Amino acid sequence: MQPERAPLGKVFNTPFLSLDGTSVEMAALLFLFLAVIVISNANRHRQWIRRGVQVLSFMVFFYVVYSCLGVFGMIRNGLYGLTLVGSAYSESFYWLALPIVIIAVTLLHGPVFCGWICPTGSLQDVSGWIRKRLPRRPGGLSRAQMLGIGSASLGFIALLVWLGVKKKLFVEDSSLHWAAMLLLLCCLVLAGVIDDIPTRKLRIFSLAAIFLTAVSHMVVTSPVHFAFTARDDPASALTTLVILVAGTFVLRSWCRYLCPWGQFMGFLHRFSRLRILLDVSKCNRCGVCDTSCDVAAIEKGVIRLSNCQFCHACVDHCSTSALKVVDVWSVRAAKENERLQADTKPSLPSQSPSA
Amino acid sequence: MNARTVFAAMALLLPGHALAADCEVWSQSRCDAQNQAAIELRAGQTTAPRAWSFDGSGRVWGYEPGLTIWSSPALGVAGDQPIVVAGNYDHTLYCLNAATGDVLWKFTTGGPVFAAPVFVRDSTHQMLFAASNDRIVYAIDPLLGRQIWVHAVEDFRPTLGGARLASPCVGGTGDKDDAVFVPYWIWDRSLANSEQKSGVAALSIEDGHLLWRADLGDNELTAAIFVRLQGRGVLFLGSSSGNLYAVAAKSGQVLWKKAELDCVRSPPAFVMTGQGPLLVTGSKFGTIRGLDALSGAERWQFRTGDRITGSPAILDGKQPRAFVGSYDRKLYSLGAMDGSELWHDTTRGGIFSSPALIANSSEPMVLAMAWDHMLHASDLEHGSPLFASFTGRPLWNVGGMDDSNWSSPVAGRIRGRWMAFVGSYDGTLRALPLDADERSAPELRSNLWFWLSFPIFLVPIAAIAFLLTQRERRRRPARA
Repeated sequence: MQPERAPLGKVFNTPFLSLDGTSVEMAALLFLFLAVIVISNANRHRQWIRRGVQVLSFMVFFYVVYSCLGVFGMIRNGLYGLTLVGSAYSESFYWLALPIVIIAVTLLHGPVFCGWICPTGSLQDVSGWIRKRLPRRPGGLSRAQMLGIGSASLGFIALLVWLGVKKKLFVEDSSLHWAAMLLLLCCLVLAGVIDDIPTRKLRIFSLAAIFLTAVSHMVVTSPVHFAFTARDDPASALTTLVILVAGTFVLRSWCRYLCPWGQFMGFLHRFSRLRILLDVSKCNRCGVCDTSCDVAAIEKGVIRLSNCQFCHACVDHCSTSALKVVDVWSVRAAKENERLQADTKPSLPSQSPSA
Repeated sequence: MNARTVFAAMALLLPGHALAADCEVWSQSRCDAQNQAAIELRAGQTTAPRAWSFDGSGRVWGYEPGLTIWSSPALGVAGDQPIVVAGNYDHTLYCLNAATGDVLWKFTTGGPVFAAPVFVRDSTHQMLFAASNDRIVYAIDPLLGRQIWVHAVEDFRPTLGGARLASPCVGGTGDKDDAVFVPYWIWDRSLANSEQKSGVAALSIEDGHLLWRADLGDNELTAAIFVRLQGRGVLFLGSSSGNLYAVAAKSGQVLWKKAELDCVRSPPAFVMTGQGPLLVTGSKFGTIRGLDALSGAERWQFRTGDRITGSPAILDGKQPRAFVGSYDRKLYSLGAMDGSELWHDTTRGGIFSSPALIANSSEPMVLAMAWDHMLHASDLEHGSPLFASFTGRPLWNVGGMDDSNWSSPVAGRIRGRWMAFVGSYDGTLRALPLDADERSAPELRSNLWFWLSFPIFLVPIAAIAFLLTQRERRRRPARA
């Protein structure tokens, strides 16, 4: 007979599995979004609160959420949910719920999913924290950086070969291609062969690739996919490791260059209600906002909407409060109202007091 | 005096012994109450069996997969032909000639078929029963594939969310096999109704009318096994809420309920031992338990390293042995009397299937499928690996590894040759010869295409990034 003990692996990978597919799973996520909508309005200690939310979010995704809700899976499952509309409403609702909530929250409150909730983003913030503490040499690649990224690339190739020997690899394991791309792009950016900003357009290709694979019934598992379910998915785990390591060379490199969901969020941000805007009259051009942004979405006070993750770091670091979160819908409505009033005044002379 | 006491007293007083159904007819989800999933198919057809595969995936430009085989196949004889029947995700039941792989008929239901079909064959009946997730139990003529009767376990209403019907089992409310028992789980998550319920429906074999219905809570139920124990029929089944039930086949009365178990995802196996009737069950949290079939009292338990989703299988004999696959990548053989480990065989992936036991062969073996996408055959006596065969590429999107019970292998002997029948999640039903001189060599493991695809992707992506950079650099001075 075996001794009475729970195997460690089981404790690690099976908590709350019974919540899979239940309303508890979805309610936990909904609560997370509602909490972020409320909490992100805090003016004091906002970045600390954001860290707390990221930890909570990571726990929710790791322990409660078992559906495939990674950055690839959400696109795929959203499309799958659409195909079920009209035939299996409850299942359709289940698969569409999270993408719809994220889209709705992005339109109403900005892309807070990327900056506050996304577990892949949270992981990169961990490596980013390390990155910020490493010595940097301005204007070039230091020897330590060269050594680091060289070692990371060799380590990745070694693990890839080991995985290929141990396991038969399928299309499902193609997140490894994204991992290889990420390392390659980081190498080229650090070496100055390619530039950071134009390389971000590759996210369009990433989004297109995931969309095409989804509609052609090919499944590519998301980088953090292994953590959502109890699946044996070493390819996804290795990709996650690469994202983590790449973040120590280029901050949030996954978000910058390859995240397909990030591309979609950036597109939606153009139409969202909240936006960070610069009050030029208050700006002292200190450049703190530029350095505080992990995804370099702000340059001299001008924000690139397609890259902004709405983490509020620039707002919180601005010593003159020149950067503010503005309700552009209200501003637009007020301007429209003023224009209408201006248009209608001359046409209604009979209502004027003098008449 | 409660039902458990009455039943225990009867068991002590009445003479006779338990009779587990011999597997001459595939009347239970894994053929018999021992879940051996192996049968001799005595058909008149002279065609020798050969390896074949039936690709019904119907993969088209679209997201929804076609045929994805969830249900374990069932083997039987129709006319003079050995047949294999498997239910599928595409709502269809496929019947193929087990020797040649020719499609004999298809039967379309209103929902995905996750449950293994079962047969009944006696002097008056020759029928196939299939339970579909459209909440309907179908009785079908196995020769022609025509519907004989249907019974809906729950009447349609627009707010019904769905259903999971477990595999039926044939048994008797009396001495004769006159009923088919179907565990069901249905839910209606509309605000107005908001309920989910589970139970067992007993239907008459003759015309499908409802004999009784037993309410067993609100969680998914496993298939049931039917055993004649001390002269009366008893059904044993588990539930995902962690209960194991013994239900009287005559009335639907719950004889005992064992409530301390973890989530049970597959039916238990039954064997009569020198110490009395024994049930062996596996739980999702990795514990294999031996229980007294009369009272549900625990006799022994054995812990594996991870969850168990398949059924145990038992090899009868003086020293009965239980075989269970676990997600800890091991196939275990245990002494059924005390739960002691006899051997284990290690695979490269968690074992999700119920094993099939081929004892009556020159090379006794146990078959199991694992998440390394292989069918593994191990020596029945010592657990040494005999061979492994590739069973198809993974298909992750339709369900998690342990979200459901995937198809398990079954075995049939046709014209003296053992064949394994495997329904895979890639949508292919495969027949593999098991005899040493006939089985094909395992597919070569090649990741060549995967490696070649790296430069195919990386070079253009790097080139695009370079071109974008060059364009931006040309524009920047112009802007400045």
